Amino acid sequence: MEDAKIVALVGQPNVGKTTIFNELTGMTQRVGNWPGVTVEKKEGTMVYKGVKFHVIDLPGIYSLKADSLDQKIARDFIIENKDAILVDVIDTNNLNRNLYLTLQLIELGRSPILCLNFIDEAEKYGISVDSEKLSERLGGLPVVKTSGRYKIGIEDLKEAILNYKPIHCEIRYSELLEDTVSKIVEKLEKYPLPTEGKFKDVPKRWLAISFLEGDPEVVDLFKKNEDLFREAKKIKEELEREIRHDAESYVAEERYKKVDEILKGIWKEKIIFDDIDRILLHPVYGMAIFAVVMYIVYTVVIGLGDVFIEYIEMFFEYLGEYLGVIIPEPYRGVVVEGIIGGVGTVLTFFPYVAFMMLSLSLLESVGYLARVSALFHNIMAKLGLSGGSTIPILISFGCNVPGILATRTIPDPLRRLATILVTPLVPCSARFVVIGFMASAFFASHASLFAMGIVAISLLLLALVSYVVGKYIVKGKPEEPIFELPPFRLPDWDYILKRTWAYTKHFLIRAGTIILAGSILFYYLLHYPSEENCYGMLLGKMLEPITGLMGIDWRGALALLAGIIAKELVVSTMEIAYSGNIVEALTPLQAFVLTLVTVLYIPCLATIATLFYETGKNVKWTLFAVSYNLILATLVGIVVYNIGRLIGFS
Amino acid sequence: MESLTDKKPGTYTVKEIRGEYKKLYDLRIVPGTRITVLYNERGPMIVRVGNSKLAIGRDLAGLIKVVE
Repeated sequence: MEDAKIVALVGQPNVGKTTIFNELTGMTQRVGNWPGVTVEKKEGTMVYKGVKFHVIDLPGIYSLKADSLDQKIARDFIIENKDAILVDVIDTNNLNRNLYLTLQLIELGRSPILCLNFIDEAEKYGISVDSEKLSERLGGLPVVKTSGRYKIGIEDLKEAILNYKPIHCEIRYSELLEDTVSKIVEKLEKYPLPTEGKFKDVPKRWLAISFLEGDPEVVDLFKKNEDLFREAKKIKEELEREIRHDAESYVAEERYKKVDEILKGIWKEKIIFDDIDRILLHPVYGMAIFAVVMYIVYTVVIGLGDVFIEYIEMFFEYLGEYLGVIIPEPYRGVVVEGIIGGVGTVLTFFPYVAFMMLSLSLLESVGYLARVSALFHNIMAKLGLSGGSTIPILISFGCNVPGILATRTIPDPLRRLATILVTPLVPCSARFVVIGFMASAFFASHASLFAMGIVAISLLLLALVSYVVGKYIVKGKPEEPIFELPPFRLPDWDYILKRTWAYTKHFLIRAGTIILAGSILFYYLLHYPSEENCYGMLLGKMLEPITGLMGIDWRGALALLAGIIAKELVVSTMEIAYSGNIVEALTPLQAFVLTLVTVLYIPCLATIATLFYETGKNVKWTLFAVSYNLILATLVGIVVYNIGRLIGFS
Repeated sequence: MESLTDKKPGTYTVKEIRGEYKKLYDLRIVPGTRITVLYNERGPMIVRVGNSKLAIGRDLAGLIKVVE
C-alpha cells in the first residue's frame, strides 16, 4: 500500500461522487471516520493495468474555504497530499456552479482530472458540453465524461488516472482583483511568514485570495506577522472602497464570472424542474405525504423483518439446544444463556436494522430525503437540531442503532453530534416490548392511553434535552436553512445495496465484539457465585437506596441492569426476579414508574457502542450520553413516583 | 429593491445580500445571479438557480434583495 499512488475524489454534494468511488474501488472500500471527528471517511483500492492506487473519497464540499469541518478536512487533505491525483467530480447539469470548486483547486496550484458525471441525465435534458474546448480553456486539464450508475466512461477515467501528469495551469480574474492579489503577494514576499506549518508550500497567490475571502485559518496565519496583517488589511479595505461592498462576496462573484466566461458557447443551461416540490414541501400536504411514506416504510420494514427474525430466532434456539448438549457443564451456562442469549438477542434485530437502512438509502437515492430535511428544518432548528436530524430520529423509533448511523447524512458536525446525543431518548421497538408488556399486565383497560403517555413524556424530554444540548453543550451556529433539492432519480440499486452494507456491516462487527463481551459480563453478574446469591443481586441491593426513592426494589433494579444488554431483557429478568408474579408484586404506580425509567435510562449496549464509534470513539461524549440519560431517568422516576403518591396512588 | 420573499413566481436578478451568508455564495447566489422563484406561499421558498432547485427558509430568503 505504501507505494500505491493516492487518488482523492473531490466534489460538491449531490454530484454522484460516491457512485464513482464505488465504480473505481469495487468491494474493497472501508468506511470509517476521519481521525477525531465525526465525518465519514471512505477509502478503497483500485488496480488498473497492474498499477495499484489508493482511492479516498473526500467529504462533499461546495468550496475550499475552511469554515466548515468538512471543508477543512478536504482542504487539509489536499494541501498535505501534494502528490495525490485529484479527481474533481462534477454534476454536468450544474457545471456552472461546480466549476467554482475547480477554480479554487487551480488557485491552490493543483491540476485536477475533471470528471463530468451524470452525463446520461445531461444528455437526456439536452445539455451538451464540449469537453475538448473545456479542457483547453482550463489550461489543458484532462476532462472525462462519465455516468457512474450506467457505468459509462469509467474505463476512460481509470485511463486518465493512470496517465495523469501534473500540469501548470493558471486562471486569471479581473484586472482589479489581480492587481489587489499582486499587491498582497508583494507584501507576503516583503514580510515573510513562519516557514513551518501546513501552509508552507501553498502558492502565495492562493494565500492572497484566501485572505481577501476572509478564510479564518489564512487570516490567523497573516496575523503571525503584524506588519503583513496590517498592510494586507489596508489593501483589502482599498479594494472594498473601490467596489463599494465586501471583498468576500466580490471574490465569489469574480469566480462565477470566470466560470460563465469559460463556459460561454460550450455549455448550455436548460431549465429542469417539476412542480411536485411545492406539494412535498407544503407545511400541511407535505407533512401528510411524509406521514404516509413513513407508515409504508415502517410496515414494510417490520413486515419483512419479522419474516427473517423468525428464522434467526429459530436458528439461535437450535444452536443453543445443540451447544447445550455438547458443551461441558461449567461453560454451558455462559455459552447458551450468556453468549447466545445476549448476542443472539441483539442479532435478532439485524433484519430491522438492515431493512431500515435499505429503505433509507432508497429514499435518499430517489431524492426524497432532501425534501424531508427541508420540510422539517424549522421545527428542528427551534430545538437546536437541524432538518437533517429528522430522518435519524424517525429511524430511531425502529432501533436507535441505525438511527445514530443515519446521522452521517447531517453535514454540520455539531448538529450531527447534538442529534447523536439526543437519539437514545427516542423510544425504540425494544422499549415498546416493555411498554406493551406492562400495559397489558397492569393497565389492560387503558393500554393505549398508557403507551401514549409514556411515548409523549419521552418525546417531551427529547425536545427539552435537544434544546438544552443545542443551547449550552454543543454550541454552534444553526445551519443555514437552505437545501439543495436534487432532481428525482430512479433508484440506483448498486449504490443502495453498497450503502446498506456499509452501515449494517458495523452492526454485525459490534455484535461480535463489544456486545459479546457485555453479554458474558452480565451473565456472570447474574450467576456468580450462585444464582440465588449473585453479584447482580448485590448490585441490585446497592442500587436499591436510589431506586427505592422511585418505588423500585432491588428486583426491579436488577431488571434494569439486565436491560442494559437489550431493553427486552427487563421483561424476562423481572419475570424471573418476581417469580412470575409481577402483577401482585407491583402497584400500578410502581409499574408506571418502572416502565418510564426503562424507556429513559441508560441506552442499550448496542446503542452505547454505536454512540462511541459515531462520535469518533469519543469517551467523553459517550459517557455524557449515558449519564444524562441515567440522571434524567432517575429524576423523572423520583418526581413521578412522589407526585403519584401525593395525589393518592400507592 | 425588494426582498425575494415579496416576489411572485418569475425570474429576478440578485442585487445585494444583507449579511455574509457563505452557503448562499456556495450555491451560486451572489449579486448578479438570475434567480427564479418557483413557489412562494407557505413553508420554505422554492427557487431555481442555474439548473439546481433550492429550498430556502423564509428568514434567509428575506436577506436576498432582488430587482426585476
